[in-house]
Order: sequence, then structure tokens, then C-alpha cells
Amino acid sequence: MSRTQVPPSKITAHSTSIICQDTDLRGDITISEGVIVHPKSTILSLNNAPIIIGKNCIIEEGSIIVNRNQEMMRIGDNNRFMVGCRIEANSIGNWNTFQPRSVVSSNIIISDNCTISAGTTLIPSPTIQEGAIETIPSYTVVYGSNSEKRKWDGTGELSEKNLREKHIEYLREIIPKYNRLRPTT
Amino acid sequence: MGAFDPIITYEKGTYIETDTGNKVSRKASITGATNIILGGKSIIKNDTILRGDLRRSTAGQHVVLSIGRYCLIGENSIIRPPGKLHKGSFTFYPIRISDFVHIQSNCIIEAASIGSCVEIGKNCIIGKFVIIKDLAIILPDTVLPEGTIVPPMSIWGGNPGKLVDTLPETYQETMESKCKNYYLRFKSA
Repeated sequence: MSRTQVPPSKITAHSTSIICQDTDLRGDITISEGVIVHPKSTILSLNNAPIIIGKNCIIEEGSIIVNRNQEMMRIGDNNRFMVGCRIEANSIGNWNTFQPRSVVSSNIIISDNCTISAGTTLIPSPTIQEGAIETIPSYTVVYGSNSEKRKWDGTGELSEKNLREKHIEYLREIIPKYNRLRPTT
Repeated sequence: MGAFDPIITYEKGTYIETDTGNKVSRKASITGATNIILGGKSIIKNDTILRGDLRRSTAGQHVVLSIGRYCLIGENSIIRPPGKLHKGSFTFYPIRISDFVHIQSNCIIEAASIGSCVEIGKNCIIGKFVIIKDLAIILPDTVLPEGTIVPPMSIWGGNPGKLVDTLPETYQETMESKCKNYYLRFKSA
């Protein structure tokens, strides 16, 4: 039995991005400046539709980013994909946090500053038409065992952003010391 | 947990045994191994990820991850140090895991410290800077949010994790013998 032919990967990475060797990148992937991809993470595009990752994103170990659609998956700037999250959203804005083991299904568009908390699942609401795409508004927080939604009033937003910037700065310093990196062009 | 428990076997050569009796799977991905201390007689199973590379920002030698004796890190578990801003600069903080700690499969651990005789069930997510004191049980599928402190002799479960029950006073002996027993039963085929 032969496996279905996978088209050759086309990975374009900016020279300031840091991508560890031990990662699984398949399909047409564009990685912008300053992105950090930890070891053991996966980025897949199944139909060879492009995935574009914006500036200064952090993709931690065990996270899976999948594009199941025919269209391009665009991920904005400064997003953080924490350990073991699984993201299949159609598009993602800026400054979002996907906490450990959060799941975002397809047919979802995520705006800015959203937090998908640990262990939650985000699926399109059952009341909308099947196959329709739901847009998650900015500052949404998905939390708890029932994956409920509420709004973040934006307190401590500035310090959060500051923390994110300092975090990525420090990772840039420390990751190349201990991990083998993929050559970026 | 008795004399008649079955032996847990692994294929010969898939685990590395150290002088102090640690059994570390060859399939575990351990980064920054120089920053990790294993106390002895601990088992690290397949496909675990230990991030020893995420160390403190100040110069010099730092222990990132110290694991005590008779510990178990289950399959696919990820242990990574928590990080935060300290005096304006970002730094990671070390994780201390004491003796007799069982961490089952598929856990994500970002705790600051875990006391002795703690059992963490399957699929748990332990958030940043969580402190788990001695003698605690974290039930399977629990999510402990950032900064939770788990007191001694307690059982926690749910998402977000809450106190569910307390433990009997004999639990220390039970857990110690369980951990020792598990180590003795874990042998190569």
C-alpha cells in the first residue's frame, strides 16, 4: 500500500526567525521575522494551501497548527501557541494566546487579543449554519470545563504585551545555545 | 499493589540505566541535559519532553529541573520551567520535584515545586508557578491555573482545579511503597 503522495514542502523562513531542527513542518509555510518555533512542534498544511505566520509568534513544543482548507491560513503577529495546543482556525489576528492543550477547530476566525484557556475547546456555535465561518470577536476569553466565553476588559494589557516581548527576546538568546536549528534564509 | 502485581516490561536497550538506577527512555527528548538532576531510581518514559534549556538569565550554572528519587514521568508528558518578568527582565525559574512523585501520561507541568508523595493523574495541566505541597493527589484531567497552591493531604480535580477531598494519614507509607514497588516491577524484557 502506497501512501498518498505528499507534495514537496515549501518553507520560507525569515533570517531572524528561530526554527528548531526537531520540528515537523509540511506544506507551503511562510514564517515571518522573529518567530520562534520550539522543538517537537508541528505545522501542517494538508491541501498544500499556504500557511503564513506573522511576526514574533511563539510556537511551543507539542503544538499543532493545521490548515485543512483550500484557502490560505493567515496568522497575525505576536501570537503565542503554548504547549500541546491544536489550532485549525481559518485565520488568526494579533496578540492571541492559545494556552496548553487548547483546541480550536476549523471554520473559525479569531480576531485580536483573545485567550483560549488551558484544556478548552473552541468550535463554531451550533446555532449557526453548518459550514459557515464564525468570527470570534477581539478580547474574548474561552475558559473552564464547559469552554464558556466572556470578554476581557483589557486590564493589564500593556504589561501582558511587555511580558510577551521580553519573553521572546530571552528565548532568542537562549534557544540557539541548546538546540539545533534549521538553517533559515 | 502487592507481591502479585504483574511486572511492567520494556524492550531491552530502549531505556538507559544510570549508575544511580535512573531509567531514562532513549525516545525521551531532553534538552539542556546538563541542567537536569535526577535523584536516582527515577523512571522517565517514552516521548517525554524535559526542557532543561530554559534556564535563568543570570550567568553561571543553574539547575533547571531537579527530580528526586523513585519518581515517574509518564509517556508524552512535558515538563518545562515557568517564566515571568523579574525586575524588568524575563527569566525562567527552576522546577523542584521531590521524592516519590508519580506523573502519569500526557501531563503538562509548569509548576514551581512539587512536594514528595504526590500523584498527578493522566492528562493534567499544571499551570505556571503552581506549588504542590507534600502528599497530594491531582485527579486525571485536572487543570490547575497559574499560581495555585495545593496544600498537603488533599485531593484536587476539575477544570479549574478545586479541592475535592482529603487524604488519610497513612497515605505517605502507601505512596512510598507504591513508588518503590513500581520501580522494582519496571524491568527489561
